[in-house]
Amino acid sequence: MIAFEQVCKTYAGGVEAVRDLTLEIPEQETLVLLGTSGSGKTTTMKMVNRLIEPSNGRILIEGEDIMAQDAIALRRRIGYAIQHIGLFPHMTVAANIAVVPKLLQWSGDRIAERIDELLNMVGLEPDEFRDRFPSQLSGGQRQRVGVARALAADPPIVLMDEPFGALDPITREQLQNEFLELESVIRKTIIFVTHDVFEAVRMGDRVALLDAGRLQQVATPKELVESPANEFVDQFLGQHRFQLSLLTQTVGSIGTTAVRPGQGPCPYTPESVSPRTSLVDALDMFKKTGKSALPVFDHRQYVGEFAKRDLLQTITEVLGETEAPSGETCGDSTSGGAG
Amino acid sequence: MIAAAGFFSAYGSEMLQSTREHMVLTLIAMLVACAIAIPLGVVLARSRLKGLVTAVMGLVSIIQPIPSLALVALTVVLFYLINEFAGARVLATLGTGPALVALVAYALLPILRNTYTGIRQVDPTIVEVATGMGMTQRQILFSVQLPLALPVIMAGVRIATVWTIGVATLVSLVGAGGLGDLIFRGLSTYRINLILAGAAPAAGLALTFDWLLGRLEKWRTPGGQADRQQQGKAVISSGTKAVIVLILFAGLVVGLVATTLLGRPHGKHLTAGFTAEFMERPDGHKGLVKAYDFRFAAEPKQMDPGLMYKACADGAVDVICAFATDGRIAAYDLVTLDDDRNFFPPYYAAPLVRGDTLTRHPKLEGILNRLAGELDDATMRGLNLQVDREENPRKASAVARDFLVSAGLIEPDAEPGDGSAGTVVIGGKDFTEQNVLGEIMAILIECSSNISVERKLYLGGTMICFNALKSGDLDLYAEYTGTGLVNILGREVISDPDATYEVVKKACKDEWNLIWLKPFGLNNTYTLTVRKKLAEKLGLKTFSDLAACVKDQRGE
Repeated sequence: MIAFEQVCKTYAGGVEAVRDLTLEIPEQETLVLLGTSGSGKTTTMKMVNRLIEPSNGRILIEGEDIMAQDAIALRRRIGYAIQHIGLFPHMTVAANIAVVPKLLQWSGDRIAERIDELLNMVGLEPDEFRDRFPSQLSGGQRQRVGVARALAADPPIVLMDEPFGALDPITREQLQNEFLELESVIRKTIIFVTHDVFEAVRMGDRVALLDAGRLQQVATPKELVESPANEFVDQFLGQHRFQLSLLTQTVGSIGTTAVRPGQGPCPYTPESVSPRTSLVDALDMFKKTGKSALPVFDHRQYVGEFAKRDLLQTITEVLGETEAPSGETCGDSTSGGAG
Repeated sequence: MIAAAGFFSAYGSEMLQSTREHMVLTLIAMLVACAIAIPLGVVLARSRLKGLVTAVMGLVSIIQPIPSLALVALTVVLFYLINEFAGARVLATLGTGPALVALVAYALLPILRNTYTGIRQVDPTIVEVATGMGMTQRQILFSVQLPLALPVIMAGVRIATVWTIGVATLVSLVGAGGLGDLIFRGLSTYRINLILAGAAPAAGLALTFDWLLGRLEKWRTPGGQADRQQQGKAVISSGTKAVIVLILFAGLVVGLVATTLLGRPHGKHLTAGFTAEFMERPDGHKGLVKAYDFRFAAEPKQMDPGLMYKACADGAVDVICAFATDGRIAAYDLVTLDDDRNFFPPYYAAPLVRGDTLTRHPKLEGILNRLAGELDDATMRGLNLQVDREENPRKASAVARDFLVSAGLIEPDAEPGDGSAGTVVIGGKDFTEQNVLGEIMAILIECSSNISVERKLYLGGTMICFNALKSGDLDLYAEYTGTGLVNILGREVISDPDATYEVVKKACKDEWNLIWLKPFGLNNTYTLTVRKKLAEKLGLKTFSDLAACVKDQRGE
């Protein structure tokens, strides 16, 4: 568990990057730090591995104050991934991944084994990619290597600073999904920094929204979207509310009626949804398959069937709920002529 | 082709030897410069003290605009001053020591600047990631910053190497050897072949090193061609590559130094320091060893005529080709040996003037002939010493004027004429006596006529002066009869002074319409000179004694 206790960071020159932050991140949670640039999200993250040291307050990992620990040893226990420029350009993929294991003086065999294991895990064929240099990889491949590197020494905590920031939307979404899948297997405590509200909602178990160094709200994505704590949160989500609602609602969450018993058990197929599939992804799957109903699997166990019309009805309802603010805006701008 | 073959049989081994010396000098200088500049650059790049960076960079940048020749000269003087200060001879003022210091100083800036820039330009995000992953400062430096800065650092090393190869041709002037020996000998004796024999390998070395280091830069660059071709599981890390390169370089240096040292005779042998001109002219080193049938154990060191006496006095060399009329022989407690086989011809000094100059200025001959017999050996030695002595040295022009006044050739308050009768150009070779003689002739002409004088003293050597005289760039200069006979006319030595004078006078008049006026009186012969103590210890009196001594040492 990571705990922030009344943490402040004031830079030389008096800029208060983080003010009085108190926050607990339970083990195995993915906490997303969300905010615009200057909100203090990156500063908050970098204080965890002491790249930045707090001016006030304490940060505890497993109950121990990190300032009382050796910074180098601390960092080697925390995975760290940033945008693709973070790979060492003069090292091969294998050498990049091996950095922390080498620092921890693992044996050569163990390192080689781990490299192949991680490359497989992030979907890169070891024999093909091991000896490449970062300049010989695509953006998506670099991100995958970046993630593999952060996980190399199997650290209990991973810090990720916009790891998918510099990618095109399609690759980005693909990587997000892969990472979600990976994450459900590896179970780490993850602090994930992003300025993209969709990414935050998609990736986070909880989302902490920061503004000007102050924590505005920390909640599950669904709570955040459905009950903003204050004006700022409300405005921040603003015009994205409809899409966000579809993202935060899942097949399993829209009511017990949604999953009906279908024609009975059938073998697992990727052309399916799970109770945790978001409505956006479910809609994509309907578009992709062209079917009117999809089988629902929970951990590959058949649990029933999800009908397209249920989805469309829910979408209409959500649209009704979230339409009002945008409708008003429209009305305001046109009222002069129509009134 | 035959000429080329002959040339290589004559100079091939010297070219090899000089090239090797050149490479050793360059490589040692580069290793030392790298050992200083790279760590310094790293410290500066990682330092937060901006003032320190500016100060060190500024200090090193001061060296660069100093002309390389001046830097070599400054180093020699600096070493001399250190000796003076220490009150003992702690540093050899000539040879490899000062040469290396000058070369290293010159190579520092490009390496330092590139190391600094190379490290500074490493993406700060990369350094932050490395920190965040738990690397120590040291690990960040060696596995991230240095490898990423290496191409830039290598570019600096490459520039510095090419410069150093060029500048190393100049250190021949202070007796450090190298390809400059051949170039300066070629210049002083007007032999294009010899200049090329020095210049071509120097250019070749520069191009080769430039290419090699360029290849190395590319090889090192991540994602370069070599990396893409890399197959198989054995990944050679960049660190390993750097180590391999270092080992190769170190091996090359050790090899070169070893062969150079092994090629040298062991133990204490008599060493010689001769001028570039003496090394090359027929009445110089070559003729001498033939006439006395001996050979120095080590190839004589080549040095500037002005530095030779001090080098002998200090023990940097044992035997020098002194000029008989040089005041420093006595001042430095050196003794001249007797040329018992009359190898050297008489070298009576006399004005050598273009025939058409004498026609244009009919008074000139009369004026210059007033100097005839006025300057005997002792007088000339005295005048030379006034210029060359360490305590309170005087300017050649002041010495010349005092002499003319005391000899009653001009009035104490004599003023130069109005210059209405036109100009003559007086030349001189690159040593003190030529400078003094040039000034004496110039002042006498100026104060006795309305002819104005342009001085082109300190030209590179006999053949430069003589060819300039033939072509009309000079009107006159002081030449020596023996030099005219052997060096210019290529004749056999005649030991009778008057006969020598008559032969050169007639030949020069007939062939080029160049007129030898009456001799000044001094006979500035070359003479082998050693320290008095050494002469006493080894019982050296004549050239034959020296030859026998050298042979004994060689075990012949």
